[in-house]
Amino acid sequence: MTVFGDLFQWLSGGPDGYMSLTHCMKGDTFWIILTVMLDLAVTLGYILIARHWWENEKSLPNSQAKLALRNMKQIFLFCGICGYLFIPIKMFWPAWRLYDLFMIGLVFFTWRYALNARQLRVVYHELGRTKQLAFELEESRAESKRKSFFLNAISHDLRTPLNGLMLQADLAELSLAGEDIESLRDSLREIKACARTTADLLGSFLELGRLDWSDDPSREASFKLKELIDQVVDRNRPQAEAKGLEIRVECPAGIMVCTDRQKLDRILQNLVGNGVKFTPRGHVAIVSSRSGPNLVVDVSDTGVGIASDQFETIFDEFYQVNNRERDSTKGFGLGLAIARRLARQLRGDLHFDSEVGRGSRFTVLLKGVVRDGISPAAELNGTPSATTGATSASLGRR
Amino acid sequence: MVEDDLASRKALGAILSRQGWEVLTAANLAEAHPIIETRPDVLILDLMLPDGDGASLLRQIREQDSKTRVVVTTGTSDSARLARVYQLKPDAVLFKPIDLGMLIKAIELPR
Repeated sequence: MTVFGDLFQWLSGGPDGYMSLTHCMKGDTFWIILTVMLDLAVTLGYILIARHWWENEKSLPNSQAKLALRNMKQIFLFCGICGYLFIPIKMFWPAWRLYDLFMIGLVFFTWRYALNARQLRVVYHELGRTKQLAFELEESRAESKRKSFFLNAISHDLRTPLNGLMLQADLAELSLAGEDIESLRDSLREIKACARTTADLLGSFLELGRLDWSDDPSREASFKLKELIDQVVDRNRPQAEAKGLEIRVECPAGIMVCTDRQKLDRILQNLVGNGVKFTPRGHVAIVSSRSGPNLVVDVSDTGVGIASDQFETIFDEFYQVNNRERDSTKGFGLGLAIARRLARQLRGDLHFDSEVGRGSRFTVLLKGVVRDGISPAAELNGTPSATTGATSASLGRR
Repeated sequence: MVEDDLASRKALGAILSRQGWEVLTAANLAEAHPIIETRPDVLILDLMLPDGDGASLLRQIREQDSKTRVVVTTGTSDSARLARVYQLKPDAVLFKPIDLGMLIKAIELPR
């Protein structure tokens, strides 16, 4: 008999021992109880591990750790199922002692894993927390970057006209000393222009702050929309004509709205002003319509347009399309930020659609502001009103 | 002088002319390049120009190993941008609104 043969014989219960588990279970209570206890212990270990998995898998964020836990669970479940499938085989297989040794090992490792899993829970919790902290850190960095950009823009846009103002004041002193009245007059004119630019920026900035930080109740009043649009157009016509731009209006004369006139005026002024500013040729169109009690005003242009990668930042304060170096002739970049805040204050919103090189379309939607009892001609339903006599805007949806 | 703000450009140009300097002005990078080719004694340079970063002119001058003094004037508070400018070793950096006395002192110092 070889060493292997002796070992196999011992594992099989010896020449006089049990030849299989079925054989053993027929007569020996000790082995029956031991086998059942081992099976129960392994089952309990499995239950504890499974509980740990299910609990922690839920708390873990999507990560490599979660994937690893899920894979480990599947491997362990596969092994467990295979183990129980092995039971019918072991009932008749002669090496039943080998089975019991295997089971003792399995109990040891199962329970060690189950006990370690309690500590792993802390690790998983920390992993989840780390992920959350990383997300918060990223948010905080983005906010910090936004604030830096904001401060830098204010710094530049305020210091530039102040610089002009101070240098012109220096020049005015020299002109006065040299009795150069013409130069002095020029300097005073420039000083006034610089002061006005600074005041405009401060005014816009304070308006933005007021919209963000204080309650500014809307003063609702009923008025004809056409009158308001005409006022806005008249205000922007000189700049448009200077650039050879056409301003097209399509607004039914009968639409009456009840909202804060001053705020709606500011929204339209900012949109039309931007349209004129950023359109080198072509036209700016203002098209208004109603949808039940809701008012829709489209301000579109054939200007430079906005690239899709800039869509998210277009309403940010001080952001300007294609003006990273803050060319002061393009304004401060507060107009759209203010317009959207005002639209939201009026229970509405401001959306846009744009394509580089083709132009932009800004849509103001104000809910429940159109007053009933107006002329049916005011219902546009997508066709121009005969009362306007205006050219239909030719911008398709871009 | 490269400065996009018209009021500053006109005022500083007039002041320096009265002090005896011959002043060439540019409102953007495109206008500035031909002026740089003349190798001026002093360049008063704004950083944020409509068609790009004024620091590119400073880099060009330093690469040419020109004797041009460069006085940077800026309204920016972007520290990363300023750090990049300082690496190019300008002769002076003045923050807007600039002090005229300091500017004159900066442009009159020998290199």
